[in-house]
Amino acid sequence: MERALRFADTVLFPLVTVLMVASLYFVFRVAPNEVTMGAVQRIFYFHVPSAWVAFLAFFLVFLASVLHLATRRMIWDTLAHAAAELGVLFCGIVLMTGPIWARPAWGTWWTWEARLTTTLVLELVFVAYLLLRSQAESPAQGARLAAVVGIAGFLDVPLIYFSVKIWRGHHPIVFKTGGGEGLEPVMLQAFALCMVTFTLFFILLLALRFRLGLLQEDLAELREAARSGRTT
Amino acid sequence: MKSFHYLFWAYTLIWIVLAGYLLSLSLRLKAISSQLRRLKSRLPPDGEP
Amino acid sequence: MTPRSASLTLCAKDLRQELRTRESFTAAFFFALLIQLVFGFAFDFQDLGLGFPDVGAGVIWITLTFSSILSFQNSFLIERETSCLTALRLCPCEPSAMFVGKFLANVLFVLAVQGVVLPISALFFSYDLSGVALPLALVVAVNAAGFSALGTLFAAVSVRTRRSELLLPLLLLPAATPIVIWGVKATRICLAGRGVGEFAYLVGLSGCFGVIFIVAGILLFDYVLEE
Repeated sequence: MERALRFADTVLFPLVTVLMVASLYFVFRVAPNEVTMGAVQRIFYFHVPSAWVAFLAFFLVFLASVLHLATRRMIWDTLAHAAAELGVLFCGIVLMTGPIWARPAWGTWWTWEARLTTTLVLELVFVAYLLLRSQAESPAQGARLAAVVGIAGFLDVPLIYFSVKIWRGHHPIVFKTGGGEGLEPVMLQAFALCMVTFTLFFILLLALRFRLGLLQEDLAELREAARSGRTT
Repeated sequence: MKSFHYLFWAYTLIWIVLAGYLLSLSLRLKAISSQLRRLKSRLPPDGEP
Repeated sequence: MTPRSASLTLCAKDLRQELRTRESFTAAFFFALLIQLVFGFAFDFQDLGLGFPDVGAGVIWITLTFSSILSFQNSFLIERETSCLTALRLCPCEPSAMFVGKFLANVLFVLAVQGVVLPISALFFSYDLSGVALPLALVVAVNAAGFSALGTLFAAVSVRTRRSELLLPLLLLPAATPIVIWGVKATRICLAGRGVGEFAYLVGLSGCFGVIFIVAGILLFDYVLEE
């Protein structure tokens, strides 16, 4: 565990920094302007990877919740908490950048279109998950209840996506360059680089937040030991 | 030209949010580490049942 | 005790309790009526020239979701206040059977309230339900079951926390989005007088939602009840 966290510090941190600089270079200097939307389309290079990372985070919450209920080890709960916090963070970024992109592209801040609405619902589900943790009567009980909600919440994700899609049509096709469909190779490279960067950035943040969780548990245990030491 | 305005704000906000979260994480880590150190120094050495 | 008889016994206990006190039904029913009142002011049907088929689906589903949350909360708050939660935990039967019992009771409460509120709603907004009564009943029943499955699980979770009244709506409403969307859509088609064939797939989807969360509740309820 300590080795893994130290790896994050010594290797991941500089790697992510370099990749982030490279991504920005690719996004702003290498990738061409999109034909219909112009420069503002470049928001897509950080908007979509954020959505991917949010989804990855929520999947981790689900996995960690299952493992916590199966093994009763608090370490899985710590991981689930860390992942949920990051999921809410990156979901927030998607919800912020979506309207900023929508306004110049389609003339309105919010369109209730399928993917953005799904992201909004997911954000609300996982904010409630974090609130639940803060209202539990004990850490062990909070961990268990949160695990139940984490599992139910994630099972709901495809249902939410499907229902919103039925309600609204599809995400408008937003990228076309030249006369062709889809992304040009250079844009695809920039996009792929951003996806890799964001995934590694997420792992780095997860390691940091996870370490914070472990330290919080250590502190709680020590406080408990100090308290019981005083009463005996 | 106007679309650069939006592009600028989108990326600026992303960086503010990410930097803000990193800052909050490192502050919390520092605070907890110092609390742990203080508490460990006040507790008697191990060996109690 | 077999799981089936345990579920039915628990459901019967809740129903008997409710028949004796009529607390939950009264609260949910009057809350639902008040929601109709607010809708009457908010949408001013006559002035705006709106008809029930236009916004009726929304009225029905907002009423159902918010009044049902009250019922779900109450079904577990009663157990907590009378220290029955401990008794339930000590019961010599499967926790999954308890979930099913609670779920059945909740569905029946929701349907009972809606059975009375819907005709009153139609009356307030001058709509004749007789043509669509059966299809509407089908839509409401299946969606209420799905909503109750998730609601029962989340109500059990939230009742173990400090701010249970606040937490349940925050947990349940976003997670129940599929039910709300499919319920509203199916109800709108139904109120427009179109055939069951047009909204059958939506009812099917809501049914799937219900099955998924009944199974999830059965598997997870044990963990919720633990001390």
